[in-house]
This record gives sequence, C-alpha cells and structure tokens, in this order.
Amino acid sequence: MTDQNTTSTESAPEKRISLLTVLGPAHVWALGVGIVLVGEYMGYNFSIGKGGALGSLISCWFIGLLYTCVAMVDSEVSATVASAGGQYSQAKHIVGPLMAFNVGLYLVFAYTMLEAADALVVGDLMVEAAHDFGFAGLDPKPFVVFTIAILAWLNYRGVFMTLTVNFIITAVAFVAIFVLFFAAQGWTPGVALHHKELLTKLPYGWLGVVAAFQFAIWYYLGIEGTCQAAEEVRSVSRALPLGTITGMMTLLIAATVTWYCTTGLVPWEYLGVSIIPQYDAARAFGNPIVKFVMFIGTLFSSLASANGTISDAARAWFAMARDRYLPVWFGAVHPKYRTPYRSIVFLIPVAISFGFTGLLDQVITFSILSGLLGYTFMSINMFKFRRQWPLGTIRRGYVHPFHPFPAITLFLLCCVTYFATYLGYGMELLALMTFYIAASVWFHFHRYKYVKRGDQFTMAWPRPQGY
Amino acid sequence: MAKDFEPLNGQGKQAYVPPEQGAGGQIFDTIFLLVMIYCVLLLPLTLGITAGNTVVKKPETITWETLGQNKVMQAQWEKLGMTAEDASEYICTHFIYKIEPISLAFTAIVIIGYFVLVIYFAGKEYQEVINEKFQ
Amino acid sequence: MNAFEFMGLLCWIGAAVLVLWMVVDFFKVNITYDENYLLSSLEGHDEITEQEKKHRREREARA
Repeated sequence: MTDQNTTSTESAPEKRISLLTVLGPAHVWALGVGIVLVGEYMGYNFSIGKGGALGSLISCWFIGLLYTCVAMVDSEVSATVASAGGQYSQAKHIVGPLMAFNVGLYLVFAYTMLEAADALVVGDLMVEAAHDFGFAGLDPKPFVVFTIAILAWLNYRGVFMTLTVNFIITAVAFVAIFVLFFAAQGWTPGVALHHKELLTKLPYGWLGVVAAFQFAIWYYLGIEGTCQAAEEVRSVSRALPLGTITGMMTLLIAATVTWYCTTGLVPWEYLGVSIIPQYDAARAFGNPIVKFVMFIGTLFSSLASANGTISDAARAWFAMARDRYLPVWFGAVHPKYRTPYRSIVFLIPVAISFGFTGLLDQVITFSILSGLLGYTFMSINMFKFRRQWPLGTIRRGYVHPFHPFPAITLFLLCCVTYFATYLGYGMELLALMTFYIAASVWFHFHRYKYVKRGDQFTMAWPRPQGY
Repeated sequence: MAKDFEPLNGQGKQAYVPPEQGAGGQIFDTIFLLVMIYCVLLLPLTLGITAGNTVVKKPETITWETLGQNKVMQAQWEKLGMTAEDASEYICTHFIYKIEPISLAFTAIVIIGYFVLVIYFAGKEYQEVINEKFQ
Repeated sequence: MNAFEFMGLLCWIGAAVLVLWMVVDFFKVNITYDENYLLSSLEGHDEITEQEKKHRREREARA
C-alpha cells in the first residue's frame, strides 16, 4: 500500500513531463464535433415530436446556452484537474468518493447507451435501405451485433481509429449535412423545402417547447468530452475554451441547418418519431444521390460516435475499478494491447441488450439523463471548487469569466430539463434515479470499505479550505 | 478493525488499510451490478413501463382532409411511401403533458434528495480522504 | 435468401468470430499472466508514461 503511495507521488511530475502536448484548438474542435455529430443525424428529432418543429428549434437554442455554460465551467476545472479521468477525477478531488462513483457511472451509462443507440441506428438504416430495394422485413439484430462486435474488437486490440481517421469520417458526415442543404437549394424556399406549408403552430403550446428540452440535449451531448483532452493540449488556457466554444458554434450552425432541411421536407409528426431522420429527409427529397450521401453520413457518424463511446465507457469503468470503486478485477490492462480489455468485454452484452430493444427514444433518454446528472454535478462542483481553492491559491489553466452566473444558469437549465423529461418520460426518469440511488447505497454501505482513502487524492494542491 | 489501520509515515496517525476482496466477493458484486442494470433499467424498458406517455385519437373516417393535411403535406407523406391510413398512426398520436402535483413533487423530491444525500455522504468520505492525505 | 439477408448472415458469422477471438484471447491472457501484473497500472499516467519513455529512448538513441 505504501509502495503505491510512493509511486503515485513520484510519478506526478513525470506525468506532467511525459504528457504529449500536441493538440491545438483545431484538434479540440475536431474532437468535440466528432463525438457529437451523430446527434445531428438521429435523436434530436424526438424534440420535434415533443414540441413540434418550431418548439424544437427554440429548445435547440436554449440548450445551446446550457452547453455554453458547460463549456465555460468545465474548461476551468478540466484545465486545472488536467487528468484523463475527466469529470470522475474532478469529483474525486473536489466533492468526494460517493459523488465520484456516481459521476463515473454517469459517464459509463451516458456512453454505453449512446453506443447502443448508434448500433440501433445502423440496424435500422440497413432495414430501411433493404426496404427501399424491395426487401421488406429485414432483421436488424445481426447489424446491431456486428457493429458493436467489430468496434469492441478494434478497441480491444487498441487499434481504434486515430483522431485523424475519426476526423475524416466526421468531416464526411459534416459535409453531408450541407449536401442536403445545397441539393434542396435551401436559400430558395419553395423549390424543395416547404416550410410555409409544413410548419404548423406549436402543437402543445409553450409547455411543448419546454418538453422538447429533453431531446434538444441530443444536439450537443458529448461536447464536454473535449475537456478530457486537457492533458494533451499545447496551451490549455487558449486551446481548450477556444476549441470548445468554436465547436459549440459549429454545432449550433449544423443543428440549425439540419433542422431547417428536415423540417422543410418531412411532416413534423413523422420526423418526431423517425430513427433515421436525415435518410428519411433524403427519401422525401427523392434524389438517389442525396439519399446515398445521407446513408453514408448516418453510417459514418454512428460508427465514429460508437467507436469513441466504447473506448470512453470502458475507460471510465476501468478507472473506477482501479480505484476499487468497482471489483478490482476490471482494473486489468491487456499486457500486449494496453487496453482495459476486461471492461471492454464486460460492457459488450450490456450495450447489445439495450440495442436489441429497438426503443431508440428510451435508450437515448437514459443517455441524456446520465449526461444531465453530470451537468448538474458540474454546476455544484464549480461552487465547491472556487470555495475550497479560491483564485490565487492554486495554478489554474483557465479562469472562466462571470462566475457564478454560468454555474447558476447551468443549474437552472438542468432543472428545466428534468421537468421536460418528467413531461412524457416521467417513469423513465424515476427508473434511472432508482438505479443511481440503489447504486449509491450499495457503494456507501458496502463497496467503499474496499477503497483506499488518502491515495485517491493525487493532485499536488494544498489542503482544501473548509476541510 | 484495528488491523485495518497502519501508521502513516511515522507521524503516529493511522492510514486506513482496506480489506482484500476475494474472487467470490468480486463475482458477487459484479453479478449484483448486472442484476441491478437489467432489473432497474432494462426490464422497465422491455415491459413498456417507461414508454413515452402518449394517446392515439383518430377521426372516424381517415382521409388526408380529416387528418388536417394540406396538399404539400400529403405529397411529402406519399414520397415517404405512406397512405392516409399509415400516416394517421403518426398524426393522431399525441403526448399527454399532464402536470400532476403529487407525481411532480415526488419526482422533485427524489432528484433533490438524491443530490443532497450523495453530496452529504460524499462530504463525510471526503473529510476522511483529506485527513489522511494531509496528515 | 436475398442480398440483405445474406449480409445479415455474414454479420452474424463475423460478429461470432470477433467475439470468439476476444473470448479466447481474454482467457489466454488471464491464464498466462500474473494477476498482480495485470492489475499493476496506476492512475492516468501509465500508458502515456510508457509511450513517452519509449519515445525518449528513441530520441536519445538517435542523438
């Protein structure tokens, strides 16, 4: 035990020396947009189902504000707790072990459910493509299983796609969004886009707009992943906020263009439940080339996203096991491929089980709610961080402006989004809360006895004020 | 429990030494986690308990007109391979946004209570971590 | 059997092969290596440090 303590302390400066600080704002931008872009290809459209087309657009911009606050708040803490553990490591150093355990679970489930959703979309895309070729009733399950199996295998071997490859795939998917816009001559309403005839009044009034907040999260879910690159960024204070905020601006534009094209082509009632809205928009547009481009865009964005989520979920599970928050057996590293192989294998059946349900809106809701709980934590975390280590007491990579307004705005928007989920998906909200409460009880009263105490705090900071 | 503590670098204070968990305990914990994931998350999904709260209200005769669809809407539905009958499944399904004070208050108490308790117990655990780290 | 159903069959076979490969390797590693060695990594810096040490050695060798 003492050995581990000593090693941790001695390795800390080496860690800082050894980190490859190679990423600039453009890389951070690519990383963020790469994780999130699948949200412009599926899932966002459920906000149209909950609040109508215009309701979705309004909620998209409000949730954009929520994520701008996430980017500001998280940039400061991540640039200071520059650790690959991300928010899990932040919670461990600032709030305490039980919160860290919960934050670790938020990450695992936000990403595992997103992985299941990605696989589910690939399956449905194949079913629709088969249908278009005259083969109705194709079973999506083999495509779901194969997608998860091949990406898990790539991650297991450590041969997962590099940032460059993922960047190319994402770039193709990003360009595809604009292919539809240009093909439909989006600048000339009425040629192919029929907003005047297809847009209706708010079907559920302003309550529907609030209800749409739930799925509007999907336009941006995962952008906070940029902060996990904090260790590898050349100039944290510049690159991290700049890359994240420009990523947010890009996504706001992509989300708006996506919304604009699909709502001008597909009646909102259909769009609100579609699993592959971009492909359906291309079908309604009628051009086979555009349809093919949308097929590729949906496929690529799903694969890029699933590839990242398998890696992130397994690493979060692995990190918790290494700290003994979970059975230590999961904390093993593959001696040849240097990957958390046991965690990867363990999470495969979980992702497949949820992918098999075919219930995209509910699988997505689990992911959204896990993310939302994480954002609520971030706002509380920010207050504790500033109180325990006031400005000037530790070196911060970046200090976000206007504190405490971003944290307060974030907290309030999170509350509104919980209410939005209550509207229509209240039982699912309670099911997920039951899970996290049961897991917390299990951790505090049973699991925590296996965890070392002082070893968890690895940052070279002074004693926090108030403790 | 006395053997779970050891002196911390000659300062007379004791560091907590966690017990080693055997293979059986780890297997049990893993199965417990899986059971929790499947029973609390997957089961309600497959049983349809967590499905979106919707209602279907169809008109007696289903035509594009009775469904309130104009010519352009009708054309777009048809491009998607839908007849008026098919489209009615989508058009006539609506979310029910009923705010019931009791269920809303219960949901709010669950979420707020969860955060309050997690932060409270995390704080107690954190105090132990800090005490041991900064001895 | 149409082309899509054939693709589905290939996907089942492909997925089975990949999962089987992982399971075989999984047990092989668990049996071959000492558990303490497999669990010996430390937070955050292990993989990166290893990689960096390797790069440093290469740079020094070149110099």
